[in-house]
Amino acid sequence: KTKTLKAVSFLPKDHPMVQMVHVWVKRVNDQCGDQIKINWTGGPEVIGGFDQAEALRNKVVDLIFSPTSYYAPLMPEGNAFPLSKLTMEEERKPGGFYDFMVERHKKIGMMYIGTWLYDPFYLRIDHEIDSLDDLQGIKMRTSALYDRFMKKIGIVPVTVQFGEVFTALERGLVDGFGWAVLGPREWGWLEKCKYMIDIPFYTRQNTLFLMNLDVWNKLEKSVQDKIMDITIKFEPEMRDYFQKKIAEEFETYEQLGIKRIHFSPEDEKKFLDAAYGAEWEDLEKKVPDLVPTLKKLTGN
Amino acid sequence: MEWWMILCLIFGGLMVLFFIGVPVAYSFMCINIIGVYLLWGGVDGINQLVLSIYRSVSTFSLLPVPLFILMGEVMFRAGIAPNMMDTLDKWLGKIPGRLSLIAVGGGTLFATLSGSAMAGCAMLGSVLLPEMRKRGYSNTMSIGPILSCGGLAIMIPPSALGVLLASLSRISVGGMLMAIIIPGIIMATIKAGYIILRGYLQPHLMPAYEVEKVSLQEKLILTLKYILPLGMIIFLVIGLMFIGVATPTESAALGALGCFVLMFIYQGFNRKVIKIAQKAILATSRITVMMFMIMTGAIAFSQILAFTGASSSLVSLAGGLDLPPIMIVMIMQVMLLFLGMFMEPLTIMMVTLPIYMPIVKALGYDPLWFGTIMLINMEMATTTPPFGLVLFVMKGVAPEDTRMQDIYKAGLPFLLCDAVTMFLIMIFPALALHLPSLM
Amino acid sequence: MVKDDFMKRIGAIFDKVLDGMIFVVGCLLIFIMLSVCADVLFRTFFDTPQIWVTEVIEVMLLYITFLGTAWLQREDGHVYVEILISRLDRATASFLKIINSLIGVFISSVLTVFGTSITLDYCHRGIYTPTAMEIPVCLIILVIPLGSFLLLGQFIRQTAINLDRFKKELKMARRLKNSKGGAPWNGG
Ligand code: NA
Ligand code: NA
Repeated sequence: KTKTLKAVSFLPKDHPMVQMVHVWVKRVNDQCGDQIKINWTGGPEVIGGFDQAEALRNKVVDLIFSPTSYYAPLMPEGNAFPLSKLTMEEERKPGGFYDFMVERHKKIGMMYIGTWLYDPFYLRIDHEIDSLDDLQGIKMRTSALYDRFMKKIGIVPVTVQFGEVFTALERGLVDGFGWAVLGPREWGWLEKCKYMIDIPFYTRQNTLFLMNLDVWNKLEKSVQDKIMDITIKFEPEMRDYFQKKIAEEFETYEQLGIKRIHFSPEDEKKFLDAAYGAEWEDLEKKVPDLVPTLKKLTGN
Repeated sequence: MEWWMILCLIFGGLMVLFFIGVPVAYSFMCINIIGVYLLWGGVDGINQLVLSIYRSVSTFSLLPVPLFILMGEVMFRAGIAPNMMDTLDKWLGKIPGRLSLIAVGGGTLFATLSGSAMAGCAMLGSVLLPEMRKRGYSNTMSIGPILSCGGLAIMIPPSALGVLLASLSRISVGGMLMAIIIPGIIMATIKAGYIILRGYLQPHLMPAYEVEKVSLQEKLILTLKYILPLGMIIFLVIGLMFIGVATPTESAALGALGCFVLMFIYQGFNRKVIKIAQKAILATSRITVMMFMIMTGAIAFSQILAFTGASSSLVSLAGGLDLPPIMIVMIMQVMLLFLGMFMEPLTIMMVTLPIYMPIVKALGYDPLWFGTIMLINMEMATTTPPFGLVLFVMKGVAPEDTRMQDIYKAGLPFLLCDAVTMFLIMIFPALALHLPSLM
Repeated sequence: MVKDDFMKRIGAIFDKVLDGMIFVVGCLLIFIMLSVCADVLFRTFFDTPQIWVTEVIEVMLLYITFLGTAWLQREDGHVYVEILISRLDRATASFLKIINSLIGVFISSVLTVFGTSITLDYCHRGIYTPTAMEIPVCLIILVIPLGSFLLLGQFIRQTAINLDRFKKELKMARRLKNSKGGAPWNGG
């Protein structure tokens, strides 16, 4: 008998960033159709993004597509995902980062199945600069993900609601923002922010397929293997898809006159050290015992 | 169970609770508790509900609501409005319907300071109605304009209801506040035009009377003293947002502080003013808690509708209808108008927006445009008979012998003016969408 | 008589608590207004935005709602649809009012019980908000069971009052019926 699994995502179903999730869901449904059927009920309109991890633990839903930062309070070490410098294939080597994170997720009643997004972060700014020092005192729209990093390099983080970012940029309330590649152009955020600091950081996205652990354990071994098999093949394909999308996006940038800012090699190193250092320091505060292992497993 | 059966149960249950007189806020909460218990897996679902209550009101985009209400309360209680009306009065000479026109002008001016229709109506009613009676104005042309122009407070920023609508539809608060400016002005113009026309055709409804001559100098001084400072408030609410000092949400706080400052400037800093401030804060707390308590049910209610698949099924149903999209929008407005007869705006928005907004997006319309039209409809709901909060405020300030039927009748022509405005926005979407596009 | 006196005193204390709560709500409103203005000021002139303002205000909006709701219930300030109620005869209307306050008792007890349990759970697990401020969630949602508990008190009191009124209405209706009994104009 087919078991229906209810799923929710932290973004709406038609959002460009969740396009590959559709592919994964279809494959699982096609190949495990006699055993399980995933019913992707919707995005944050069904259950709020920040509450989805709790809903998964309470079995209100069986499967979520969520970033680890949204449940960092349950599992602070999840913030190590963006810091990984390995490919997803490398992470999946036995005894590696994947296995370690599966164990950590089991402790909070979740099964970590795989990753569904590849899209590195960049800082955008509304005027030309040429060194790290120029960032001192610049006001940028912040989010929990890069708040610590911004403070570390002297950027003044400003809280702006998602819906007000456009106005805030337009009116000069902030001079820039941080975001992944896909999205800002469509929202019009680049109209005023025509410069991009060409140093990708947190290249490994932290958005995961997560299943309730009980639900996972009750699946037959053959189904579990099938899902894993599908996911392992899916991840590189997914990355290729997004790399192509990002390349297309950058081509559009040329037409729009978006300029890339390059720093000197020393500044670039300082920039990245700050991005990664700020997060490691935070992890050092929250989960000191795990940090050496995490560093080793993520290639840091 | 089919989605439409669940939908009928949810709405049926809600209506039963409404009509046996359970407060609206607790009606939603009751449906939510039962809903999450059945749909989200029993007791764990209720734990999830507690979190959704927290998320529903704990959001920065709701911040302008109490602050806009506070602005109106301070302005109303500090006695700034009567001076403002008096100045307006001095400018208008001997023309037919001058007091009715003052109601429109005063309503518009007050709307730039206040975010609530009830305060607007109470202010106009207490200032103008006695004078109108004395001058032999008919009910139609005294109660009517006052009833209707109080509602301009909703259509001209600051607007608490506009913020709530934007927040419930997850559209930009700043965009919504900009979108309603032109429609609000059009609405005021149409109402003034109607009064002039009526005064021309039936002068006996608003007898003209001699007014004392006021020198230009005095007029200018009064304007400088009582109208110009209002410009400061408008600047704080809209201007600062335009020059990029504050976000739309933040500018509400600056506007509210500005109103306090204005009150202290006019009245001095003394015990009496402190009393006024206390009363304004208490009244604001009252309305805020009332509105926010209804909002606590917002997320869970729309999530329950989404979870059952009712929302998406209705969207595909509306999309599959063999009707032009604009017809669907009109049908939605007619339903709102009907609901508006019996319920107050926030409740209607809570019930309908989770279903309407996905449909509007699926039809390819701009949510800001739809939101503007809907806000006009909600403004009408405050004065459509038989139930409307502004109607009851009017009953409170009107002379003893005024019957509810008189108030109903007086409001009707102005409701038509509102409907005309609504049609204009439907036909020319740019009227709503142009200003937000400049932001 | 002694019991009545005792209940009266409890009621008076309860009223004091509710009044205190609404005073806090008013203070929070003013604090919110001033802190946002201060944030704008500091950001514009000193380049030092106050990151805490947004998050603290979001918490306060929840506090305002739940600290004020019991007080508002006492003041009969929550909106309700009065179309039907206002058309019913007094006995039926007061019977409905008993039902209404019982529904209120149900809702506020559910929120008190589950609110308390989830607050304790979050406290125990040390969960904080996944934002820059990392505020402990239990301190935020604490106000839900607190406000609901006060609301429960108010609804219990209201149930008792409505029950009393209903009894009086019934008695009055019976007396009226007896005195009018058999009169030709009865039933008008
Ligand atoms: Na207004
Ligand atoms: Na109405």
